[in-house]
Amino acid sequence: MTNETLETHFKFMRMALDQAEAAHRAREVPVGCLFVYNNTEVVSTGSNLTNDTLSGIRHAELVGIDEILERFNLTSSENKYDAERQHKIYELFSKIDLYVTIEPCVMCGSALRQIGINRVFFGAANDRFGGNGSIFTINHDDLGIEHVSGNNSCFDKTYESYPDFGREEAIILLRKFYVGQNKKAPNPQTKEEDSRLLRFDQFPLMKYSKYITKKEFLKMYGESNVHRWIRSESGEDLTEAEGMFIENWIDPLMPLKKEVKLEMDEWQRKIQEGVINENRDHDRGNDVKRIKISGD
Amino acid sequence: MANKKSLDIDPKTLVINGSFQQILPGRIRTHSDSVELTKAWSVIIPARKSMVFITFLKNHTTTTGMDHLKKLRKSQTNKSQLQGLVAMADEVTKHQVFEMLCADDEVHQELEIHSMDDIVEVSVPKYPPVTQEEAKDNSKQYWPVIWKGDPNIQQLNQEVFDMLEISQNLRDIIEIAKIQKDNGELPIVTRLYDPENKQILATAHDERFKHILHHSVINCVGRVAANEVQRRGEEDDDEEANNDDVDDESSKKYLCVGYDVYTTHEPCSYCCMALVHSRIRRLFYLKPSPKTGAIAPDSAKGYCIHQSRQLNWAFHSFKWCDPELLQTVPVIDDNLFV
Repeated sequence: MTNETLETHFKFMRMALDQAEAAHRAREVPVGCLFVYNNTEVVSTGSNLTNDTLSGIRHAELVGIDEILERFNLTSSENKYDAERQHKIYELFSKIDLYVTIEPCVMCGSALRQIGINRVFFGAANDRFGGNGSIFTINHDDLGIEHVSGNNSCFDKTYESYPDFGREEAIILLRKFYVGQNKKAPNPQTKEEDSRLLRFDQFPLMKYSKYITKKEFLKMYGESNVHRWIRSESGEDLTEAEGMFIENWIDPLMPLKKEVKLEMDEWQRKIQEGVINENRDHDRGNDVKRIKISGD
Repeated sequence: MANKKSLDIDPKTLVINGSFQQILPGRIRTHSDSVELTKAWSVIIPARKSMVFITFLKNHTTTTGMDHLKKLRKSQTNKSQLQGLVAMADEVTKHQVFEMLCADDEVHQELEIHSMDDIVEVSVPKYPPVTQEEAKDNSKQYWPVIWKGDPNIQQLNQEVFDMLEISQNLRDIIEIAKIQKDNGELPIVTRLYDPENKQILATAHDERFKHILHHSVINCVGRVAANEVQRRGEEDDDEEANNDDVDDESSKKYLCVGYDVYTTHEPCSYCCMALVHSRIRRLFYLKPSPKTGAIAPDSAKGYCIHQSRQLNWAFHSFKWCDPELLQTVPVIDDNLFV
């Protein structure tokens, strides 16, 4: 992983966001991902397919993993243990990073350690299903698994998961989705009034320490971003100047953020005019301005 | 035929009809006295101001997980004082509690809250009591608890357990697992079953040597989804042929709502969360997976994914206890994610 910069991570996340946008156009929950080999080569992409497949488990990460296994010929028509193939899978994924717009859920978080992913970079926290720190720390927990080869083929590898790459963009995509759609879900068992409800014009604060240690934070985001950690711990929002990811360097997502702001204004105008009301989710009867993030 | 009235539940061990045990976080106890405690924030208030405190609590929904606890108790040192429970410490900080109380001038003056030192940490039982006896004990030892009967038992009594159907499904998957073992494959088998229509929806075994993530639970859920896609496709064709305009939403199945899952080994976090996403009704499993399981409180990190308060779906889980049947389940390596 030579010459790794924050800029490359943002660049790859931009591509994952494109996947999420494509999912949104296809009326799927807008979550997208990208698998990158050796910090350079994109080996697969994925987006949520739960609506099309009528399966609650076709999440972007699993779709992307399937593509890699196919592409590198790592599946078999016969259900027989093959030591060489198993070894190849772990070898390959140990050099692959995942970029995903929303924190992997508990299911995907577990699948990722079972295939031995190198690292995960995500946009927004997943307050309802998150398995990389929000609800469970599936990526970190030491289960004391001993690697056994042979017919039982036991494998397990913990991994680091870094938050806040393209977070606002990821949230806005979900918000757009939940304003108009997903009438299929029966009333989920959630508390009526809680922190998972998002104000239309605000973003939840990112609490970095739920996902990484301060040392890991500084190593990944650099000393120049230490104010982000401090603000995150104190629960205060960043100022606009602090919101720029790195001083003296233009966040590659900044142009998008401007677009997003314009778009938000447009949406707010539409809501005021009652245009969006037509698409309102009647089942939930939510206030249009309060939208749930994440989920299926 | 199912018989609701004959449901026999042991309130302490949660063993049902002497055959299977309900798995619930905080409820499986080896000793009746090992009650799990948690920290909460309380304030000492003048006894005559109890109404001010109760009104404050009503207007401020503070934290969850307090329903089984009484909100006030007599002060242990001063008769003219009461101790009031404000919030659970795992959800809010002492500072947040203080700010909440100070937000209303009347409240903090009448309750005589002057500084952070007036917020006192107390140990309270984390879960509702299981028996009346335990409720009394808890109240005496830790903090007064409310006893209204066991809501879990009341809920279980609403469930239909067809013993014949349950044991038949379990016997079936064991038989298939044995064949898998003889074939040199992993003897892990799962079945999705519709208890309402008494219909087997899918039976699948572990195929991780074909595809590393094709665990038996995942295969089952995938098959049910694929079947529904096909069924709707055929339905659409029929509708077109008949030129029938009826779009009957109720005939469309949503994920695995209402279905039961039978499996030979306690599923891992990957599979358990797949079951949450699929909104299943009940899980029955045979063998525990102490290192990788995600259901039982004493498996792995004690995730209890089926009953996590934070996730958006919960389902009942039951572990089969009859040793005779359990003996026939093929053994797998403890280090395997099931």
